[in-house]
Amino acid sequence: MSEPDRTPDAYVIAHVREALATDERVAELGIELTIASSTLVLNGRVASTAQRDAATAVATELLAAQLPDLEVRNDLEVVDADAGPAGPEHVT
Amino acid sequence: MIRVAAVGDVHVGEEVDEGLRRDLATLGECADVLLLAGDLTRHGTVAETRCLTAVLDTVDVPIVAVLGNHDHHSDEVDGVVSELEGAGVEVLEGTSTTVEVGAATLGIAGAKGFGGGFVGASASEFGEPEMKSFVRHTRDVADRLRSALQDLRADRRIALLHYSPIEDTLHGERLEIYPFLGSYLLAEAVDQGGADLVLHGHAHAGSERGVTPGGIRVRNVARPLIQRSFRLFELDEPSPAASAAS
Repeated sequence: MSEPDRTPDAYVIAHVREALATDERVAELGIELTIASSTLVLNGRVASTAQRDAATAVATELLAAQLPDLEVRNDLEVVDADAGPAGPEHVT
Repeated sequence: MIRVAAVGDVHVGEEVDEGLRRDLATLGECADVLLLAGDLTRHGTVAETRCLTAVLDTVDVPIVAVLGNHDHHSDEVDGVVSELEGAGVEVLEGTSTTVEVGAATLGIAGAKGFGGGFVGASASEFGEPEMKSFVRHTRDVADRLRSALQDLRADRRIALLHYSPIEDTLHGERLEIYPFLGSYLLAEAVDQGGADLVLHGHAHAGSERGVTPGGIRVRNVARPLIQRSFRLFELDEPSPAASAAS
């Protein structure tokens, strides 16, 4: 480690993941996190725009304390559950 | 024909889900029963459950549900179940129910399920009390599900779960978290108890279709995965000859 004070990326990812799961604005266990260069990338699917935006806020708040130089890129997809029902599957 | 609508992981918060409300309002035109595969709420509060029951209010077919891990998060399970039951939703946990569809009886045995993993990479009831308790919970849930299926007298039977009984429907999730997404004990229970179809949720990034080691179809109906308000399944009613024989 060239910067001994810097929290290793793996722990940052673990801390953000835990925050996204436990912060009631997000409460999502399945968000994929990657640190690429100086950016933390959020991937996966959430149910609403509010949840997606809250994920950025939660990650940013946590990083402000640990790694303020890391940017957050939110690539979360908001699930479009409005597609209407598909045709039925026949179970023999 | 028995027509089943199913969805899991609707994760209702304290706001009205208009898309869900709109689709469920017309459910009666295409389905005879609605099955909810757990994670009905975001944090498992009674307030969120009220938002869900307000949406379910428009559904004019029987509704049967199991809870998921999110529905346990606020330790308000009794209140959540009361609210659901008050709205006419039958909540299963190691229990079963039947729904009459025309001349046929559809049986549903349900349980939340739990984790532990799959054959070759599963947790054992060994070591620390916490570890034993974790695995014992899965085993207890699976045992009750097996009994519920064995005792279920119906023309067609569905096992309703939140956690997955197999790995197939987890494909897309990270391999490392499979033990938190389901357990082979659930599949073993279903194969021993017997069913025509297994429905589950929980794995948002998984896959829709799989099969138990015993050959029973498994479908992951997590809403973030199916990207719809529900999936539809049609089960043939048994022929009169088959009914007489059974």
